[in-house]
Amino acid sequence: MRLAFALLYLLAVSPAYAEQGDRMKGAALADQGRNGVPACRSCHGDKGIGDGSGAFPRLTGQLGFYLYKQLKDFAAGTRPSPVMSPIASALSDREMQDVAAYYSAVQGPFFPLPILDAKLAQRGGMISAAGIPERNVPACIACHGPAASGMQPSFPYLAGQYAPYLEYQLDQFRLNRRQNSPLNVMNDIAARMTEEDMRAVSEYLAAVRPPDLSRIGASSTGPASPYAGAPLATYQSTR
Amino acid sequence: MRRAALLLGLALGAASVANARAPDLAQGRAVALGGGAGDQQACAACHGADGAGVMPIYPRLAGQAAFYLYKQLLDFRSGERESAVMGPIARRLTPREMEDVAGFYAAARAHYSPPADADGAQLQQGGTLAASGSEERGIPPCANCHGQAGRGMPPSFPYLAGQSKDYLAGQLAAFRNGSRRNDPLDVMRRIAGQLDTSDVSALAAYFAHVYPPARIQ
Ligand code: HEC
Ligand code: HEC
Repeated sequence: MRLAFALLYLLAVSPAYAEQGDRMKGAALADQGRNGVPACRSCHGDKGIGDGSGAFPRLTGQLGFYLYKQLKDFAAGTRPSPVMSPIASALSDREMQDVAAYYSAVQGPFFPLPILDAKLAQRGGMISAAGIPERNVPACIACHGPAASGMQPSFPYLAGQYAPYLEYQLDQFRLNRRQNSPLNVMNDIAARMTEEDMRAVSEYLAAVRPPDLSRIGASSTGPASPYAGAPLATYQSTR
Repeated sequence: MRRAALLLGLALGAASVANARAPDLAQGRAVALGGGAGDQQACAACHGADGAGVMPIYPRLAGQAAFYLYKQLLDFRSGERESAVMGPIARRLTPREMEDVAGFYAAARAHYSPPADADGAQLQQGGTLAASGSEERGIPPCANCHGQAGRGMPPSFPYLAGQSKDYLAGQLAAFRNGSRRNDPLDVMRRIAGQLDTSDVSALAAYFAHVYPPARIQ
């Protein structure tokens, strides 16, 4: 019920971002920064793939609107971060759109997977696919899309994201430090999870590789990544 | 300006221990696996045949710059870098063996698996300090010298990515207490002196989780 509201709300607010960022300008900012703004690359790595550590999130091919909204929220303080808030505050709205457009369109390799704890990963897989019914935790894939590979316009992909990063963000939601999810859905969900649940689902999601959607809508003018700017309608009609 | 002069100084320092002859990798392998002519232990017993290091206290050597490794062996021998384990080993190696074994490990490729325990907040603290430093506390970004994400800048700046937490924290402590004083122009001793214990743990945890160079699939 709550979730349905969140969906409606998101669909209603999304037009602020028109998927019109200039990727080339975004690429220049990401790789070189500018006076007063460090290069995104210095932490997020080449093409946003990170450095394998999980200190910094993977941005490669993340949804454009989602990225743009996070930058807005870092600047506004609803997602406070000692690292990102000052950087986001220094960016213009235009620059946020450009850099979001760049990362949403770029593709990049994954680091090899660490050795997984099979039991933990299995538990995480259950949570992702079915939730934890007795504690009212919904399945991740209900919002984050099939195989948690993201759902336009605002549900980020979780598949292939770094485990330590995911766990840390769940904790930030649980502690109400991160308050930028619509109607605080994520805070409610995280509050009903144990540390063990968070760990398990994070380890599992980090190990999921996005499904090969490369044939969907593939054309010379199509998006560079299956997650990139494809409008919601294309997604539904081709699935 | 200051930094340019510093980098130049470091580069000159590097040139002064020039190893002119190309290392003989087959000889280097023989030293690594069987010890040198001087009856020392095989390096592989601690550093692994592939240079991954068999335990967290033994540093990873695989893919580290040959010049850097060679210089460490000279410094262990001279005592500028004190080590009860490596000192005697280095003193029994000939300079030629040092060159060869350094070349062998520089060319080696080794597996890496990130440590199982991870604390996202701590990783972020370490990662941020590594990438941006702290201007108010006089800590330069490690990336200035050790490369982006600690990948190293051969020949003189070692990679830190993928070294174990214990080893990294141990070296920062050694720079701090002066038992390791082989860093050109005191750079690392000064930096280590600015770090508090929480910085050291965060930096060590961060670099231990970063993939060492050339391991992307
Ligand atoms: C008994 C175990 C052991 C053996 C055998 C050994 N090492 Fe070491 N090595 C160590 C330890 C411990 C250190 C870290 C010393 C310190 O605390 O500074 C080290 C450090 C080094 C370093 C410095 C690495 C860095 O990143 O700065 C080099 C180079 C090295 N060893 C080369 C060798 C070579 C070459 C051999 C064989 C001839 C060898 N080691 C044999 C234990 C060993
Ligand atoms: C101005 C350049 C410079 C900066 C900045 C710098 N380092 Fe270093 N670092 C060096 C040099 C040069 C060496 C190698 C010294 C030698 O020849 O043994 C070194 C060595 C090290 C080592 C030992 C590596 C090994 O394999 O034994 C560690 C650990 C280290 N640095 C950590 C750091 C950390 C953490 C930071 C950031 C807080 C940092 N360094 C910033 C120049 C720098």
